[in-house]
Amino acid sequence: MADFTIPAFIRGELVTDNLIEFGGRGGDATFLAPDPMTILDRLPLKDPGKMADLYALSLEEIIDFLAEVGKRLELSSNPLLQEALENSCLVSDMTRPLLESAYAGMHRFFQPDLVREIADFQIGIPYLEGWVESEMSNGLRVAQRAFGARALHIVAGNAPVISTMSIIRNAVTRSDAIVKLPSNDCLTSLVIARTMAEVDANHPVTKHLSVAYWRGGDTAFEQRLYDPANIEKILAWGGFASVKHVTQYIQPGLELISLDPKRSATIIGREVFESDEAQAEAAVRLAADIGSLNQLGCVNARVIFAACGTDGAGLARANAFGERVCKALAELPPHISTPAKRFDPELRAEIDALKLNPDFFKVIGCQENNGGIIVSLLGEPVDFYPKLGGRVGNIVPIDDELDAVAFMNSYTQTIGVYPESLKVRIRDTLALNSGQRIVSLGFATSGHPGMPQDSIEPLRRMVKWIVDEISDPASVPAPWIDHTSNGKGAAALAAA
Amino acid sequence: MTIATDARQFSSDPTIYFDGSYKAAHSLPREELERLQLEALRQRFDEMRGGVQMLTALADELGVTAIDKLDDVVPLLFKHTVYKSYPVSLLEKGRFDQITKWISRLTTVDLSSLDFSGITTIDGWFDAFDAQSEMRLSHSSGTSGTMSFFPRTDGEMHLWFRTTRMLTNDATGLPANSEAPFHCIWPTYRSGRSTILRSTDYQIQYFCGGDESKFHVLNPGRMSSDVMFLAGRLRNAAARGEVAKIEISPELRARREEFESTQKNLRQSMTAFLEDAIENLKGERVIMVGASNQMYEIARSGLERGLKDVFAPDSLIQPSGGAKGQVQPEGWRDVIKAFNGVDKLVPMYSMSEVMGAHSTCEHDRYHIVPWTILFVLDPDTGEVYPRGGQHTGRAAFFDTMANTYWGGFVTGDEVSVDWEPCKCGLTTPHISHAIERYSEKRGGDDKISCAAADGAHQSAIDFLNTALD
Repeated sequence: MADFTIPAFIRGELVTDNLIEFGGRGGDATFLAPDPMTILDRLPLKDPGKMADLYALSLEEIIDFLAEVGKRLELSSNPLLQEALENSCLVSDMTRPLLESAYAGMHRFFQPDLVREIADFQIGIPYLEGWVESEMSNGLRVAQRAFGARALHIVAGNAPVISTMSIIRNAVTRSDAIVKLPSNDCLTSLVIARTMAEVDANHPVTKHLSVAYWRGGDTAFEQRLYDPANIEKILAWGGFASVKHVTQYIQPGLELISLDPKRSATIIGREVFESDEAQAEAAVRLAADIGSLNQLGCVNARVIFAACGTDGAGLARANAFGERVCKALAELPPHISTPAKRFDPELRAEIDALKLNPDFFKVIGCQENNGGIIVSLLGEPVDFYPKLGGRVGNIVPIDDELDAVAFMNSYTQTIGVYPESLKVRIRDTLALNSGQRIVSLGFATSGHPGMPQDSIEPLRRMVKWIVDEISDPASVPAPWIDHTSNGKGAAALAAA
Repeated sequence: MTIATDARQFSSDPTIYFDGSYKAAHSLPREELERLQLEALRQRFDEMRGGVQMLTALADELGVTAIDKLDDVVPLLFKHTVYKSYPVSLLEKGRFDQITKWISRLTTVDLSSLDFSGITTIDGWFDAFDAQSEMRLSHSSGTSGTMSFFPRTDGEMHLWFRTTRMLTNDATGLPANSEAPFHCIWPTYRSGRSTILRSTDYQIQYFCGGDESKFHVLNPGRMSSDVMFLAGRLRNAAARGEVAKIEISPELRARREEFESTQKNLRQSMTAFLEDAIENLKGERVIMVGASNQMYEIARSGLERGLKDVFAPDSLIQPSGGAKGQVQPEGWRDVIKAFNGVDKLVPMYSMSEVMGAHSTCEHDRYHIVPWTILFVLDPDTGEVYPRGGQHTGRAAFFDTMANTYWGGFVTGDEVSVDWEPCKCGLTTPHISHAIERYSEKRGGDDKISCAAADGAHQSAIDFLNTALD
């Protein structure tokens, strides 16, 4: 028997017909959801002209509406949210305390000041509100406006904030969204949508949001939905396989905004290892970067390059630092980090094997579901570093901070650096070597939802930049008027 | 005879202990078998507790000093990761002295005097092992980007194939201890250092009566271990966004033509090779191993052309694969049997890490050879299920024949075991025909995470060719 039901939410309306069972692999929960083929025709907004209702609203009215929704997203008073939290505990890779704090804090993303800041920082509110005129050097006047588009959001499910942000981005860009639920977070987008409908089921923002589950890779379904007649953009989160899968549908008229697989790194400067206090501070900060969100995010620290030196004394410093980090990990409060819900047995097997090779690796902690630290005594990340999770960090001793650059690649996203002075010194080099987000150590999972992501500005990519070119023959050279001094005209100029 | 000497004979050469009789080996009363197994296991533990350093480290960490019952060994079974627990950069950089030192922690064979001076390739390193030691080191396919190494000796390889010959005699109706030669149809390379290709010399000795001309290969060349490693690295790097960082050594570049010509040989049609072999070996006693869908296609088209009973009835036809994702046409077994002229098909379950080939009985159950002790584990916790009734879980083995390395191994396979006696009359534990890899079963569960994980599956050879262009 299925554990719960995931209705489809289509433009303000809840669909609970034709339920079939999903999930249940590897001992996971099962849930019922409408047979995707039965809702396929209702999901897309066939006529983009119907987005006009969003333009009858001012951005401030949209922000007000989101604020109303935010007020209803109080965990203590919203039974829908409480139920979603309970069911999330069944499917999420996160543990209950982390989900509780994520759900309890969800409303904060709907605060007007924050929403306004996101819109203004990434796009500029005037461009969302109307036509912004500028004059070019050739006399051309342009009016530009950022218009919303019909987008499919294939969201990642490792943290609820991803769903929350996707819905806010959709609203402020006056776009039309279809959110494809991931099996590991099939609740968050849906509960926000349902709460919106409780506030006003006929509000344009509610009417331009649909949320449904179908199994990723269901090509019969995807081929019909992922079509330029239905959608203009796909925002795809996820790992290599899932983003690669989506690329097969990309064609003229259907654009991919790829928030593709990412990994993060940490660089700890050599001066840290000259001071006991600095090491204590770095250990606590690093533990936060490893442990927050239970290391389920792409932003979390995994491989840590420590410029402690690679000789015997350097390795001893790395081991001692590893012990400190391990201790700090264990002391993180439960609303920030807990022992893993399920420690990946494959990772466990990898770590167990390293323990048998003390010449190459030192394993600190890593008992049961608690995290720990692996120190690579040969100065290179462990071969299985993409699998690092469950609060396990890999400290790689290096001689010079810039030795870390050799390990950066196009998948490198966040780089936590300590101390701050080192960051300024190396940030250009990191950026040139694929680093995308450079943060103060300890703040990898904090950030601000208005910042660029994966080295793009997703909101600017979500909108369509429309120009109205205003040319007055009196000030802009007109093709049909002869402006040359010899009087032979434009045609002669072209021929020459 | 004491149980100690009994168990010693049992594990040191089961073919002598059971006088070449597969039936006898699979007919011991359960209690007697487990008594033998426990004693053999204890002996191996006592021998290797101090001699195999990785086992020493594991036993020390877990505080295991003695084995009182079979299940006591479960925490000491090596996971697949143990065989690749060296930093892969050592292999990339050709640090063969250091990897050999690492291998020496897996074996009681003394490798300290091996000389690798001047060796720059993996192929050369393997050759040095062959020339300077009794170890016939083999490796995994390397598709994950790292290579596992299995430190088996020549003596152990002989044991493996002596026992496999014992099983083959039974499966084909030949008398116990028969050495009657077969023709082997081997649709891949003649040689190489992967575990599968390592076996060819022993197959020729034990199945072809030592007659190379009875061993029919698709490709007479050697599969380069360097190419296999590179292909795996490239595939892995593609999934990690690191292709640009892969460096191809001058030694490998220099061998590009060799690789390409070897590769071209293999690209000649598999079907043509098999059809030729069938044409040339009509009426002969053969051993044929192949993918079941391919065997079916050849058989179907052969029957359509009026061909049937092409081989001698005591031939061994071993279809493989097809357990997952492939739908076999109705009656596919009968088609293959009719065409080849055998009254049964004998698929086998085996793996690189354990010296056992487990063949099916007439009820389609794989019977676990008695010298490997089966354990079925909870796939998540690793806890062992009771040795009774039916259980589905992760297969693990202890191979009592392994006498220079630790024979305990946890597989990635999901098996369904029945510990009760089989309808066929054999007493050994038996597992269902449907065996799945956990890695495949748990993939594709539609969980999406923004944190990058491995996941590319592209043709390694195409990558290789592109990389060398």
